[in-house]
Amino acid sequence: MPPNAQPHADPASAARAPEPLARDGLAYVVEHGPSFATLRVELPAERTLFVQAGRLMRLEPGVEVRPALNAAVPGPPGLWAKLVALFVTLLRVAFGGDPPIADRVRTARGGRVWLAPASPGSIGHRRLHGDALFVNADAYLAHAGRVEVRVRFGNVQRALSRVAVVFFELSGFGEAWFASHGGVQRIDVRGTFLVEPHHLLAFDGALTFHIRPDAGPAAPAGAAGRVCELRGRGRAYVQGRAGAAVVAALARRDQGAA
Amino acid sequence: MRYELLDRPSYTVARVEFERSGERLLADPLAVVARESGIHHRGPALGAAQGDAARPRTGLAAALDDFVRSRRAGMHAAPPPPAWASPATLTASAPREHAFVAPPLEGDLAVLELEEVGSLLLGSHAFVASASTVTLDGAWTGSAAFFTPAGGTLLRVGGSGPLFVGGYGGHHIIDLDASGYTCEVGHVLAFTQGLDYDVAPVARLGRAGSAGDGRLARFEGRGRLYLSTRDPANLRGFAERFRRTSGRD
Amino acid sequence: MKVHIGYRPAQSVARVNLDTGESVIVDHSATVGMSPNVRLAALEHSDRHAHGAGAAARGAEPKHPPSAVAEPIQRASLCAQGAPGEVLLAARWPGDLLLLELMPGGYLFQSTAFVAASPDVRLDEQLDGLDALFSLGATPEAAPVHAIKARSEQPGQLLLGACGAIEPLECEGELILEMGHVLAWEAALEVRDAGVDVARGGWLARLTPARRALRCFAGRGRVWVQTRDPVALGRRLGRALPRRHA
Repeated sequence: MPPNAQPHADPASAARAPEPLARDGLAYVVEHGPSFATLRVELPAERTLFVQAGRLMRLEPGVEVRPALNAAVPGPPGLWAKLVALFVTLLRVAFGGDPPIADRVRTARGGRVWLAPASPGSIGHRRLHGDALFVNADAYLAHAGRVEVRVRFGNVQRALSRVAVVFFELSGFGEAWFASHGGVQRIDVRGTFLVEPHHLLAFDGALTFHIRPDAGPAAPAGAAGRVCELRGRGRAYVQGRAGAAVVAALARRDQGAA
Repeated sequence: MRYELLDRPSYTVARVEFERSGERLLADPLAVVARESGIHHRGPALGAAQGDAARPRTGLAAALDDFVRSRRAGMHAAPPPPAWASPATLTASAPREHAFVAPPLEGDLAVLELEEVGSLLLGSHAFVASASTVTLDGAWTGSAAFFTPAGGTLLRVGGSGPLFVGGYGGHHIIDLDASGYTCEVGHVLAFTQGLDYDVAPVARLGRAGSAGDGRLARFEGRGRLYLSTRDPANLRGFAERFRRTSGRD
Repeated sequence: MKVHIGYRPAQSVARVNLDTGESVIVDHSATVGMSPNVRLAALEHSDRHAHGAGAAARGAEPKHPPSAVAEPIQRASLCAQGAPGEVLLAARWPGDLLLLELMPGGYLFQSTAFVAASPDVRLDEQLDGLDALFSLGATPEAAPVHAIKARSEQPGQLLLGACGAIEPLECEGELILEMGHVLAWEAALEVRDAGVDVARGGWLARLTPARRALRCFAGRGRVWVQTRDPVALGRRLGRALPRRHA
């Protein structure tokens, strides 16, 4: 299923009934799409929804919210993995990025929650049936079910960088929602395709990715002169805007002023 | 070169398809979104010192060094590019290769065919991309006088071919006749050459940098004025409230 | 003052038509353009004390020093001289605009949202007990935004700029909302802490900065929600900018 089946449609989505979903699925509605999409999830009793910290917009009375560590690192689970996850968390906090911490949302009797992404854009949904999807950590919005979330930050070098691109690898059985910054272009990769890393919204687990230097000696500040090389056969989703590019465009307003 | 504008008008992206090998597209380094692997991307030409500083450094030691320096001195690991340098270049290696370009901020993107609109004066922040047949002059007398230094320079654009203009927000076009028009300089994307303009600062209370550019431009004559519906200086001013200072927090 | 809103919803711009001699109070960042006979008639610096929006300029020092995050809004008065005039106004970020006709009870709104108001509208920024409304948890970092109350004895208009789309919600009982997403609400509504627990989250809650300000709106009335949070946007951008040298 494509992450966003209605790129520029649907002004009347606010009035739509929730998507009917298969057993175990959560009913949801994307409202105000595509420019400023929000997500409404109908949460049945005793079900848990993990939401990226800071993305809750509205709750119905009776809905409980607790913080939880949302992401694990590759490798066997255990104390070491927890420590590494904590380290990554602290790093992301220190750098002002969103830490891999989620709000764990539950209700005793059922209730609705409304989520709003941080960036202007649309919301996509993906049902996982044992496959994997890589999602830009800034774009991750929520998940439910037996979905495992692993941080793919490449290596320590990239994790330390202020302009680091972090991907979440979502795998297992359940559903996940993610939000684009701007619109979404679907690219069917056959061979190799190059994407500025912050504009890479998501890609199939079937594709391999590799971040390498790009553009010769002069590095654009947004990506620090790097490009993401996707290889194989599969689908990639490219977002039209990126937070890092917004920051770089605002930061270069300093030049010449000093 | 063929192009198609997608996701209009909120977050417009241009899909550019090259028609022959060796064809070039000039682009703002921040505007290059994605491309086929055959397309060669060369960053803007910089001076030797600047080039050295901006070269991506590799290795864990360099990363740690950047990390420590950025924490201590409040510096970016990579320095931001100057307000107007020369643009980056995308060169096709085969026909039908395509690339995506988009302005870095949220907003519309328009393509102006210079044969139709004639010569323009363009804010450097509004330059997204152009065919290599378009000439961009950022060093003419008066190029620095329109915007504040932080707002960029005014480029003189001529030649022929498509020019991709984008800024912050939607585009609002004003066709000027005898009556003239007044606007905030931060909202000016471009205007046709031949319009008379006069820029006057607006005395504002409060901190510098917290307001918009705080300058009003008065236009007279006959021609066309391209405005963006948002001013990046206002967003920057708001973000300033949350900016951290170096030294002890 | 006739207001027409175009380019909805993402890049909304308000075209305000003024009669000869008529004026409008605008936020310093809101002006896009104007006809040549429109003059910036006065500039004033609100210092978060109650006063009429159209009051004369004051030279008073702002109550908050520049280092404080909370910035009082700055206003200008635009007046059409000699002939009718037109003014284009917009918010700082992509989003829709909300035009409210003043009613006796008045409205409260998030300070980031102010775009324009009729000259008779009183904007009250010193609201007892409402300063903590927008703050996140118990963090010492005070909210960089505050609530403003708009009232008017005469019919008047208030133009607010949202970050994102606008959704009007009818409150009949209780509504739990994250304050960053609240654009405006009718003054008759009571606002209190939502009591959605954060503290009981244990060590993780204490370790990580609070990232939400959930509040409960109670009573009967209308709340306008914006689908993006401008405070979160500002924080994200501001933190990512190179550090400023003190």
